[in-house]
Amino acid sequence: METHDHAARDRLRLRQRRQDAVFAVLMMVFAVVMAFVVIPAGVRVPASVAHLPLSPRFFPYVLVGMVFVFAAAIAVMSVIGPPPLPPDAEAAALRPRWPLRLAALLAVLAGWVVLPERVGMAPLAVVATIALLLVGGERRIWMLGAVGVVVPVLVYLLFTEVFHVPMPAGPLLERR
Amino acid sequence: MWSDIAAGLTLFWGLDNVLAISGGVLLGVVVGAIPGLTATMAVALALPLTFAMAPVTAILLLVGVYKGGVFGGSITAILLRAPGTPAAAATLLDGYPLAQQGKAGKAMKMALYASCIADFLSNIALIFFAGMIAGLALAFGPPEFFWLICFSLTVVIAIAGSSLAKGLISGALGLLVSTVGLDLVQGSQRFTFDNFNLMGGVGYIPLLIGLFALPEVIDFYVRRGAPFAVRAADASRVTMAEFKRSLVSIVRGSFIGVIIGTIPGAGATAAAFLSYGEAKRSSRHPETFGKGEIEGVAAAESGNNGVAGATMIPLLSLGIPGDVVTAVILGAFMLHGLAPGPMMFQQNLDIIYALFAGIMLSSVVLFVAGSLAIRYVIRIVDIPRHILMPLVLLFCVFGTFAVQAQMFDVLVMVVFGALGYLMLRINMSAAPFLMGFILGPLFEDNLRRTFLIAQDMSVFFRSPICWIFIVLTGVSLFIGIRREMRTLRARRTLARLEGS
Repeated sequence: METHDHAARDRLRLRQRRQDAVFAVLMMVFAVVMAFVVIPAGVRVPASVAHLPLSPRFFPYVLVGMVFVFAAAIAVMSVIGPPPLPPDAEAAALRPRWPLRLAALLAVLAGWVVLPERVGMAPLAVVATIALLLVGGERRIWMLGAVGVVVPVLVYLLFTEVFHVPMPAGPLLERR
Repeated sequence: MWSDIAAGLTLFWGLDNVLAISGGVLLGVVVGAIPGLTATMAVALALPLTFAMAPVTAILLLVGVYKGGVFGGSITAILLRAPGTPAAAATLLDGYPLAQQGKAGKAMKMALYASCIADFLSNIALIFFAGMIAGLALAFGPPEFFWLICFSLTVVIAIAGSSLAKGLISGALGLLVSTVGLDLVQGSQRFTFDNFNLMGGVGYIPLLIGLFALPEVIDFYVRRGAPFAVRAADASRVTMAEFKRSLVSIVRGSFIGVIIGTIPGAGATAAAFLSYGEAKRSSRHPETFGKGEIEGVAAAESGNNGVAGATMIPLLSLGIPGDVVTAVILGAFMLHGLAPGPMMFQQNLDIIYALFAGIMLSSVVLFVAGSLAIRYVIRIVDIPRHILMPLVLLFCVFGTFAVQAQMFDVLVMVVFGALGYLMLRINMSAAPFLMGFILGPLFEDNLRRTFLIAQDMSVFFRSPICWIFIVLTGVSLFIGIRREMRTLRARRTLARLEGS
């Protein structure tokens, strides 16, 4: 039994080491891309800059260099460093049908980004909340109505009427 | 002098002023507790209410809103990992793990005690040492400011989480994101790619909510995780032993808050993280921080609230607002025909004393309002998670949108939410990212402004204040690196023992 535990822990540690190595390599690639592509393309340097520290590119270059160095340190440590603490297996356990749940959440988030101007904030809030309640496993109609309809409408009214935030009203609520 | 104090107390003594402070604090606590709505927004919302009020009543209402807002931010940080204000991000580091352990009541009560004590000490500093501290603040030029920010950035070591290198990368990425927008020195665009929405940089509220609150929502739908052990009748109290243990951190945090608050532009977030970092550094059990250490909550909240009274110091004594909130309060002073500054201490001394009396009372009101809020708001954790999470997301979206009334901010929140979730999965602390993001502009601006003024590196080492912060930065780095080396050694020994 103890040997089995030991082997499981070693496997988790090995996975953690691999994860760290992959992360380090990705960060080094990110730093290189930033240094050679993104910073030259994304930061314009005026001709009048006389000293290097006054250049708008100076600080981003320093930071990207730091990211590279720290990532390299992680890469080295993942090979020769002490074994990492094994992650908590119980906490890392995934929910059943998690890809479906994640996809539903991503769809709701995408809706929040794209649809408010077209649909209006209040109707979208109602639909999004009901959708997430259903994804979470809620099936009681009265609960879906109370939490999925009443609360979003109240929150909408709080922001528009009390805090005077101009929310997109959408075709349903637009005052004619 | 005594006649001025008596006149001030007479001016203050009235039901309208007491009601203004009480209403202000309550409003601040409620608004501050909503993710996305900051203390600044609460004060701005309350400003139109003051038009018809007497000057003292108006200012006290706004000060009450400010103080309530600063504390209110910690409530949702502890309960939902959704900081109501940026400064409350330090509170969630230990407050949320405590809530997960079924000790939300303990965390919130400690946050309240630390807030009230820090607020009281900050008020004392305002009343008795305003002139002296304002003079110190004036001695801060760009080089001194640069070293102060350097010292503050070393806190990243303390909040880096399980891996120092990952924490440092997180901090560097935060600094990098802070460079997005219009460069203030040269006026050129950085990483905006001609997107108008990015000209002013990445908004800190969308980033804050994205990094901290959204990953928790995503995690709920993906991972099983430990269920909350909290009940509404959560009777977890702060014991006398815990309070005594945290008292040093509270006093130190208040002191840090006062100093940071006095320096215009430094802000409560830096003070909260600095106080947290110092508490962890000086603790005998630093490994307990980040896992539900009550002292961490006390340190973060005292640093956060220590700023509240102190930001009034440059405002009242010099007429310089210390942060955005006090800039709004400065507007209220002007609306009522008052001009804060040295002349006010000569011409309107009775008003000054009336304000001092009201500000002192606000600490007591904060305690009462905070206790009430804790009693009722804690019931949030009784709501089943599958019902709570859609509502958290709802508030996150509405709160993010409310900042500038533009959907682009919601997109930014979603992007940083995804980043925050990735960071959560690979055990990379998001706190250094926030710290880097908030301190980045101050760091770079002061570095470049110093160079612009002097064009000579020796200016960074000329004043005694610079040297104080250079030494503090060096000591802080040394302690942090030594601790990391010890941790690595301990891990190696543990692995060797397990192997044998």
